[in-house]
Amino acid sequence: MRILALDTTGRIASAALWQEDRLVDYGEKDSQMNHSRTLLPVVQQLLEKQGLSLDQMDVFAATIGPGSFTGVRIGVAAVKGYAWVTEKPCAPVSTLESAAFAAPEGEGTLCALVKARQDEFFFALFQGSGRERLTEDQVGKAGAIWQQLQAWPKPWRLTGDGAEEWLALVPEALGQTEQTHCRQNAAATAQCAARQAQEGKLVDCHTLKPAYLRPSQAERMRAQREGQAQEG
Amino acid sequence: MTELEQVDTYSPEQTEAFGEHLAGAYPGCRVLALLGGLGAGKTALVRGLARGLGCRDAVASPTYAIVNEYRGEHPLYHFDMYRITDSDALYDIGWEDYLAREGMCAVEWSENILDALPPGTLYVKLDKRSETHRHITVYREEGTTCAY
Repeated sequence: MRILALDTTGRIASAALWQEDRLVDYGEKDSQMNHSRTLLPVVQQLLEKQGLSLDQMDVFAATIGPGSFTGVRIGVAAVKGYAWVTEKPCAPVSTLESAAFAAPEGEGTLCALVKARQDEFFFALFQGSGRERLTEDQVGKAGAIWQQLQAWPKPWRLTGDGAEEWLALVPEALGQTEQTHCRQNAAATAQCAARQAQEGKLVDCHTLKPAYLRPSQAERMRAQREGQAQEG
Repeated sequence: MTELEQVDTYSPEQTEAFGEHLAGAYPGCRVLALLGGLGAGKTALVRGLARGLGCRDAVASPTYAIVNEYRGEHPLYHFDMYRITDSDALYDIGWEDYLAREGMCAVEWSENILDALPPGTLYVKLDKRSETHRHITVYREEGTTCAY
């Protein structure tokens, strides 16, 4: 089974070719958030280097978010397009799961972090070995995430392109956590997609959509009202 | 709110010149929120701002595009929130991505998105006193600095 995976959720756009159970090739470009210009050439180069065409892919995988609003949409749109034309299924991979699989396995708890706005981060916790999910993808303030993480088994390891900025906001975590210096990327996304394929979790191109992890205005207003009612 | 400065202008050119002054007057300012009704001179001010920032693209009113991006040494993102009705709509134009980028955001009709303006936003109110006379006030929230 051949998988073409894309990741455009952060500053670095990447594409990966996966076959059976291993990574075949990988390309990335730090395009300073200009992924719409750089992504397709990266994919093109990758396919040409391997002498493959889009038709020969069995699955198209996208990192669907959370992350940069525009970035998420570029990757999802590209994968939708590829999958629609070739009539192949899609694998929707969470950015945080991609970040978790980018990091090596290890003991304890793996915390995947992607910057949201201001002092907020998208995050999820995974078991260090096997990287099984411990929490859903969530958004929270830096300090609150640190509180949550401490409830889980040590060592506490960090992954994702938000980890460095998170540490800058929670300096007390610096000596108590291990930075893997890994981030979400298309190779990790491809690995997650392979697992999804095995578990029968692929979707068609029309079902594939971004996961911004942002409650709608109605939900935010309800949460605000409930919060006020509780305080009152 | 802390008032930082005020000025009276009597022509679009003078309003533009004030915009050019603003480009350099508050280093680190990332978001400039313009307040004022139709014909208050917001776009004229942004024209001057763009010139001051060294933008090479021509400034135009972003009423239909919602946001115009002007390239240059210091990029400028020029918004018109007239048609932005709620924060979901604001999110859908990639507002949060713009805040994270290098470059300044100048926001016309910022009255529509006051809640979404970050700390350190510079507010520029254009008051139409007569056909030619504009009274412009610049202010900022107390205790905030411009760097976002």
